[in-house]
Amino acid sequence: MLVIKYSKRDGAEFISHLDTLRHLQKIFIRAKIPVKYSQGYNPHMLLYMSAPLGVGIKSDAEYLVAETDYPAKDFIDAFNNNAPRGIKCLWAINCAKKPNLQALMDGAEYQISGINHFDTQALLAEASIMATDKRGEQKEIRDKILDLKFTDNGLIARLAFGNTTLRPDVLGEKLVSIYGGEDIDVLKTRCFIKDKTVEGWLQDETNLY
Amino acid sequence: MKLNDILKKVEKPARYTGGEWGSGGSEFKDYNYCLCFPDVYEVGMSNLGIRVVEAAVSTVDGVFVDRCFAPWQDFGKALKENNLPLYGLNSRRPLKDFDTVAFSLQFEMSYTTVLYMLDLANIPLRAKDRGEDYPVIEAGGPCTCNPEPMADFIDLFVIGAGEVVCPKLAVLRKETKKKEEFLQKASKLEGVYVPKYTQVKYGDNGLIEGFSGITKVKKAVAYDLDKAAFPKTQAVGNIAAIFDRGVLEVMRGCCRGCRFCQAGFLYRPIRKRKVETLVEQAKSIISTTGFDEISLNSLSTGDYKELKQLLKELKRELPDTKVALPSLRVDSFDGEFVSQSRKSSLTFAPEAGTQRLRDVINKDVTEEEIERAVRYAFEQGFTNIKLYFMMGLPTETDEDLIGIADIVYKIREIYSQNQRAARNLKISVSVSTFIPKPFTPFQWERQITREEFEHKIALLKEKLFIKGVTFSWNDLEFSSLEAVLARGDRRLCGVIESAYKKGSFMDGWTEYFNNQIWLDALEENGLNVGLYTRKHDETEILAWDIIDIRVTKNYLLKELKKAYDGKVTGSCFSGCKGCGVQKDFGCELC
Repeated sequence: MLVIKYSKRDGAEFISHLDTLRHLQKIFIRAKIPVKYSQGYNPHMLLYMSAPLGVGIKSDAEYLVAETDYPAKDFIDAFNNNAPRGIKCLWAINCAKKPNLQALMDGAEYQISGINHFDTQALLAEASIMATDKRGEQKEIRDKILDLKFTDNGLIARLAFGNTTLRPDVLGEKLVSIYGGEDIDVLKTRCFIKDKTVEGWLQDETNLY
Repeated sequence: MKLNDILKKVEKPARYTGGEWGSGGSEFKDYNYCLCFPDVYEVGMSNLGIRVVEAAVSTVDGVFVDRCFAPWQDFGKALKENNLPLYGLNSRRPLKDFDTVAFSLQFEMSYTTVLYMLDLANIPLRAKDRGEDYPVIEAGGPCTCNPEPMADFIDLFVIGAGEVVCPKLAVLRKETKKKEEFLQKASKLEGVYVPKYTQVKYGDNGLIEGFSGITKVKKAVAYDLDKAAFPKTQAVGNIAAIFDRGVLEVMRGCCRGCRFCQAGFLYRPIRKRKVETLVEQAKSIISTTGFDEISLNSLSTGDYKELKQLLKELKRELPDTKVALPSLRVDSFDGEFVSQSRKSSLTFAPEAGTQRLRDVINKDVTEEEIERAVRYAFEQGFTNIKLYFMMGLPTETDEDLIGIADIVYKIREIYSQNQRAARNLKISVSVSTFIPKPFTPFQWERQITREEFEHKIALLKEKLFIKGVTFSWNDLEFSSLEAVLARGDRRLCGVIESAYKKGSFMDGWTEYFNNQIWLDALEENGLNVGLYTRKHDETEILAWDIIDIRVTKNYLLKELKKAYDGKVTGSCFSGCKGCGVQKDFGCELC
C-alpha cells in the first residue's frame, strides 16, 4: 500500500476531480508503477482519492492511496517525471494496511487571499452565519468553521472537511460580501485527522504497518 | 478581472490552461509558431492533422510550437470584456506575439470561428489590414482545396501535405523577417497559395470570367509516409478529448473513389505505412502517454492489406492495449477485427438504398455484402446497428429512398432468424443531405431544393416508421450553407465577415447555428444560396480551378458521365483508372 500527498497548482487546479483521476492513472502507467486492478468486466486501477477539491482551488495537500508496494523513496521521482504541469508528488509512505483517509479526515486548512482585514474573533463569536452555497441555497456554515486567523500569509481558515465539508470559496465569497475585498484566491495547505496532520497521523498509527 | 479569476467562472476551465503532458515547452525561441484549431479543445485535441504539423515544424532548429483552440462562448466573452487577448496555451503569450499563426481548416462551418479567434486575439481580420507587426496567418487542412471563401483573411494557404510544406515555410520565415519578401518567396514553393497574387474577374452574369497573376497551385504530397514526420508522442488532454486515445495513420488516400466523397480524391495517391513503422509508432505513443487504446486511422482501414499482420504484432508488442478500427467498410468487415472491440453498436454506411443508386455513386457495396456483415455482427452479439445514408444524390428517385426502408426490413429479418426477439434489436438510420464538393465527380451537381427536401423527408418518415427504428436527419439549411462555403468564391469573404459581425461563430454546433444571419449576410453582398447550390455547367470556370490536386478535371468529368450511365468504376485495386495522380508520382497500387 502506498499513500501519497500531491499538489495541484500552475493551472492544474482547474482540472476537475474526475479528470484528475484520469491523469493520476496515466502517470502511474507512464511511470510503470504496478498497481493492482479490480476484478470484473471493466477492470480499473485501485486508486483511492481524497474528497474532491473545488475546481480553481490550488492545493498542497491532496491525498491518494494506491494498491501497490512500490517503494515510497523511489516513488516521488518516478511520479514527478511523468506528471503534467502543476501536479506534483510532495510526500509518500508505504504501509501494510489501507487507511480509509476519505472517511478519517475531518478538517482542512486554507490560505485565502483577497479579503479585507477584519476581526476574526468577533466573527467566530457569532452563533449563526448563513452563506450561499454553489447551488445557490442558503446554508448554516458557522459550525463548519473550525478556526480563522490572519497571519503574514493572509487569512488562514480551518474548515470542516470529509463527512461534512465547507468549501473555502463559499466562505471566501461570504467574507468578501461582509468585509469587502477583491477576487479571492485559495490554497489548501493541510488536511487533518483528529487534530493531527494526515502525515503525522499516518506516521503515528503503528497498527497500519 | 485577471485571467485566473475568469478561469474560476467559466465552464471547463482546464481547456484554457495548457501544460498538458507531452505538449512540449512553454518558452519562446527564435521563431514562434502557433497552431490554431477553430473548434473547442476536446475536438481539437483529437485532431491528428495539427499533431502531424506540430511534429514536422518542431524538427526545424530554434522553433517553438504552441497550440490554441477556440474558446467556448463564456470564455471568449470574458476575454473580450476584460480586454485580454487570446493566447497560446503553453506560453500564455498573445497570438499577436507569434511569427506565424496557422489555422487548420477541417470543415467549412468553422470559417467564422477563424475570424472569432483572430478577433479575440486583437488581430485585424483582413490580410491587407495587417502590417509587419502582425504574424503571418497561414491555413491548411482539407478545406484549402477551395481556399477562395477565406482568401481575404489568410496570408498564405498550404495546399496538400502540411508535414512537407510547413517546415519549409518555417525555415523560410525564420530567415526572412520582412513579410512581403517572405510571401513572395513562399509563393514559389509547391503547395503554397498566396491569394493576393491571384486576381479573379467576374462577369455580369455573376460567374467567374477568369484568373490572373498566379493561376495554378499544385498540391504538395508526402510521398513516402514511412519517412514523413509523425508525432512520437501525443499530448494528453487536461480534460478528456473526444477521442482520448493514441492515433496511428495507417494509410493516406482511399482506393474506392466514391463519387460524392471529397477525401477520396483529395488524398490521392494511396500511400501506406509499413507494419514495422506503425508498430514502432504505437509503442512510442503508448509508452509515453499511458493511453490504453490505439486507433488505426485511414479513410478505409479494411483496405490495408497487412491489417491482420499489424493486429497480430500490436497484440504481441502491446498486449494490454485495445485497438480501435474506426473506419471499416462493409465489405472488408471481418469477424477477427470486430471481436477485439467491446462496443455494443456497429455502424455501416451503405449511403444509398438501391443497388442502382449505389452504382451511380460508385459505392461498390452489394446487398449481399451488407447482409453478410450484419449477419456476422448479430452472431457476435451486437444488437445496435447504425446506418448512414445520403439523400438528394444525383438521379435519386422515391424508389431509392424506399430502398433504405427495404434494407432496414431485411436487417430485421436476418435478426429474427435463430429465434432472436426482434424487440431487442435497435436500428438507427441517419440520413444526410448530399453536398456537392469541389474535386469530386459530382462537383458540378446541384443540391436539392427545399420542396424536394420536404418531400423526401416526409417519405422517409413514413417508410421508416418501424418499431425499434429511429430516424434522424440534418436540416437542409445547414447542408445548404455548407454547400455554399464549399463551392464558394472570393465574394464570400464579405459574407463570412458580415456573418461573424452579426454574431455567427462555432456554426458547427447546432446551438450556435443561425441561418437567418447567413441569409442576411449573403443578401447584403448581392449573393444568394442558389448561386452556389445550382447545377454548374461543365464548361464553367470554377472558383477552385486555381488549385491542382493532381486528379484531372477530365477524369472527374468522365466519372460524372459514368455515374449517369449507372456504371461502376470500382476500386483502384482492380487496376489503374488513370485519374491523373499516377503521372506525377506513380501510385503505390499501379
